Amino acid sequence: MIDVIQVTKKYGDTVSVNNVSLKILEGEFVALLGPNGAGKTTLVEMIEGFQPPDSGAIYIDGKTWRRDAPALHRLLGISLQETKLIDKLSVYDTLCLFGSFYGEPKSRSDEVLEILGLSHKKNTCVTKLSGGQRQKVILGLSWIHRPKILILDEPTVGLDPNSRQELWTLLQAFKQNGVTLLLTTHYMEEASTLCERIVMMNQGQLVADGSLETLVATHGGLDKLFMSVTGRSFDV
Amino acid sequence: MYKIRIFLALMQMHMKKFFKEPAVIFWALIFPIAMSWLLGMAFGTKTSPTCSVGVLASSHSQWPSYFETLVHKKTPVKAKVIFHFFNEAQATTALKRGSILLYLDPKKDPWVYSFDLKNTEAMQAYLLLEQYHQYQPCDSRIIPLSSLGSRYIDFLVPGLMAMGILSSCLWGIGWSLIDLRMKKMLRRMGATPMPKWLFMVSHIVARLFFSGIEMVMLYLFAHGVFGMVMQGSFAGFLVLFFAGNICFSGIAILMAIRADNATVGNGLLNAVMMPMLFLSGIFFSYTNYPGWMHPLIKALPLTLLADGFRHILNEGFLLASILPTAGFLLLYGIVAMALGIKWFKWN
Repeated sequence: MIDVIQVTKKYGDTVSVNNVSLKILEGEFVALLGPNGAGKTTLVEMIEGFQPPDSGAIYIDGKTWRRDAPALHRLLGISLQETKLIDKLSVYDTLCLFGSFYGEPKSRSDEVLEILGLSHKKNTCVTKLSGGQRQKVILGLSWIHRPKILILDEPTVGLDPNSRQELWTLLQAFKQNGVTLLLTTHYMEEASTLCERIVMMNQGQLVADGSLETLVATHGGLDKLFMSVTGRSFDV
Repeated sequence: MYKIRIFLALMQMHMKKFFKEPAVIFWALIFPIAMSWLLGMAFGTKTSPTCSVGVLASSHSQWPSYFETLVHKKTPVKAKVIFHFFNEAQATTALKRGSILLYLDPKKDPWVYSFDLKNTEAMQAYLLLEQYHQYQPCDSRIIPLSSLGSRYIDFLVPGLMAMGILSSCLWGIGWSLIDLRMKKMLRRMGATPMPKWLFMVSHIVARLFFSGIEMVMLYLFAHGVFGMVMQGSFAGFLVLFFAGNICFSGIAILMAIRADNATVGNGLLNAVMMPMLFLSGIFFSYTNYPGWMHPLIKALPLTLLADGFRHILNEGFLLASILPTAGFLLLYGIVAMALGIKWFKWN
């Protein structure tokens, strides 16, 4: 579904992503882990089409951003780090706005509200939502057009454990629809709860890639694996 | 010692935050100096206050020389009066444009002063002239001007309309785009199939709508309270309104191409707005500035729009007469918009 082939990205003299290759199959839930500055966000942004690689190629469902941007916009549902919603709009208005970008009818916004469990907040202004509810709306924006691939960049950062658990439940429900998920996270528990495959980056390179069970069995736990490949504890 | 170290560390933080942000340096240091210079050019550098007065005479030869001598030498009040020689029609137009505060007819006996009694600057100019006049045994009388288009309110309202469009577009479009970028919502929207041009068009059309409401309300207020009436072409007004909105929408988009924080965004928008607000003759005529600045001031979009509105509202200009001004405004807008869209940063 996602095929990253020998991709490199530099900012000045700093190599942010160094010759990375990664293949994600349809329906896979993949967690991308790594310490701050490992190159996770840069890699994800290249997959999302926000920036082109300096070298290498990225194919998503056989398409490239250069040739097939409109189709890829429909294929992907994305959630960026620290996105803030538009003040003054209600939850429903926000969903309808994004739904309109994909030609979705307004009834789709009601469906998404139902999925998110936010029907009772339909007409609430987004500024009046709790952090967890706001994050759910942001997830709803990425789900409004029924994408085949979800790319979520630290979707639960800063949330309390209950809100985080609610979002995980939602994402697990999405899995039933056959969606492919690429998730960057700082939470080991999130990676192990949601994803069956773990990819770890450090200093711009992939340093570990395997199924959750294999990596845990080989290294005695994700946190130990993280420590061994990065030299840092996971919460760095 | 411990507290001093904390204090020094905090001071270091403030200094670094200040000097590592170019926009802050601009706002804190350069902008106040630039504004002081501009306003100083208009008001501060003169040794005495200046007022422009129209004289109904064809030339200096018809103007009693003793009067200028009195003005410059004999009075203890050090005020400078600049006399412009007009026929009555020219003087009326100059008054409507704010180029002169009053005009007087020295051929009549007693002299006749014509001005808006509610314009305090004009009243001061009259009193000044009368003070000079006392040196010669001559009476005078006043014709209070209250005809439409010749009062200060007639000068002010078109300027406020132009300022309203400028402000509405720069903050409504420019700030809105910067705010969306700061929230990362611009980037999020850019990752959808939404046509980017449609996004920009929606901003412009929304501004046309909001500016339209503002214009209607301001005009109805001026009409209801001050009896202001549009003396020129309504179609011309609409064309100018549209061109003004396009012009400032384009400039707003150009200002918002990269800024991604409030300091820089505010700085950029104010850097465009403030000089125009001071220079373009919204509250007082730009004839207060030195003559060499006038061509530059007249080329500013806000000056074009404010003067255009004054031509239509006060001087009865028709559609055809306003088209060149509208054309220049559209040109400004289209060029700024093209550059803005080309360099616009969604990410």
